[in-house]
Amino acid sequence: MFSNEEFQRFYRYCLALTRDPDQASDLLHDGLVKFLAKRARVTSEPGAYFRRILRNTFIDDYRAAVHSAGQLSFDENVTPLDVASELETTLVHADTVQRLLAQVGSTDRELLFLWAVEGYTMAEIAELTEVPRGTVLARLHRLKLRLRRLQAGTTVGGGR
Amino acid sequence: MKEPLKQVIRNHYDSASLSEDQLAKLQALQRAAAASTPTEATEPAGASPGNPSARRRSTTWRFGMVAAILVFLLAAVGYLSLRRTAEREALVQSIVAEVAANHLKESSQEEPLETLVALRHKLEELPFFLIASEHMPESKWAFSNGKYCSIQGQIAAQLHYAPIDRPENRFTLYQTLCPEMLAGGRAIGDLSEPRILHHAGLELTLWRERDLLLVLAGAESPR
Repeated sequence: MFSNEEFQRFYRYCLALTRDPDQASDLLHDGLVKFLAKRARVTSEPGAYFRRILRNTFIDDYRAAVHSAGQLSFDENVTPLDVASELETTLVHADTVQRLLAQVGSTDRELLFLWAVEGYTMAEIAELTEVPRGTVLARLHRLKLRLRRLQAGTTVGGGR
Repeated sequence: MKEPLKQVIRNHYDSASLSEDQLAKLQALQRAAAASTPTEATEPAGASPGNPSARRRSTTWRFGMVAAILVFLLAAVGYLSLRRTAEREALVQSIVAEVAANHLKESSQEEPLETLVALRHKLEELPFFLIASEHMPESKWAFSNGKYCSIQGQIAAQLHYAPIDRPENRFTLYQTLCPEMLAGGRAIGDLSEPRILHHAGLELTLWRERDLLLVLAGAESPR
């Protein structure tokens, strides 16, 4: 049985995926129904399992364009440590982040959520989202560039 | 005011939350499912597909469990082996003591019989067939008589012998079914080769022969 605090966490994850509060609560509800139907089979580490159900439900039912970006290649000149540590030390205004989250797609929002809110490493995020680590780093690098442009006052389109 | 990116993202999501009504509906959904579906025991932490850290913990946990089970099994096997050995030895010592006491109180005043075959007819209630032991050939041992007795509560026969070259020395050969052949019987060990023990000033030789336990008791070495 999930506690209210856990539901709030899952709701925020849904919000990171959908960006819409109503869709987020619908996704949470739909995911819970699926989870409760399947929990007899796998109920260990139920939080991680439930989050996976939420993610799959979102991909199947809520997101129109799936993985449209495909697997990105990572700039060989930028080391993983550069990207992660640079983002760790980046200082931003709250409205810049709101604009960033409004522009980027669900994949990038999920990446930022797992990194900033859940505290996963890049390697763990790659494993959780089932994409190569290089792709995660490439996305993070692209987010960093986008953030830099936003901070410089340049608008960037093309968010999914 | 600028803040670290991570903190700003956290603040952004922390500001969003479900209402009390939404939470109540989700909890009700859980309770309804719990009431209608029997829950199974959860697997060890980390068996889920989602959390890599948990998966690492699970691997460690599983190795730990396997190692603990192996250690436990080895300890259990060792303990059972030691206990079986101790039980066997206790049984042997108990038989030896009983046979020695029996031998010491016997006066062997029965009328002599000519052969072991005659004794077989006399002791027809025995649940086994009296044997002429390979270890006591007729060329060295003279049979005199025998009768019913019991060993460890089981029916047995005691046969009186004397060495051909020393007829004044009295020996008693006890024959009974091996303990493990009796209902609820305890194992007595291999004893395929004679085992010599001493008790109450007597020398007792135990061995197995054709599903029987044989114990020869005498004041001196029969060989």
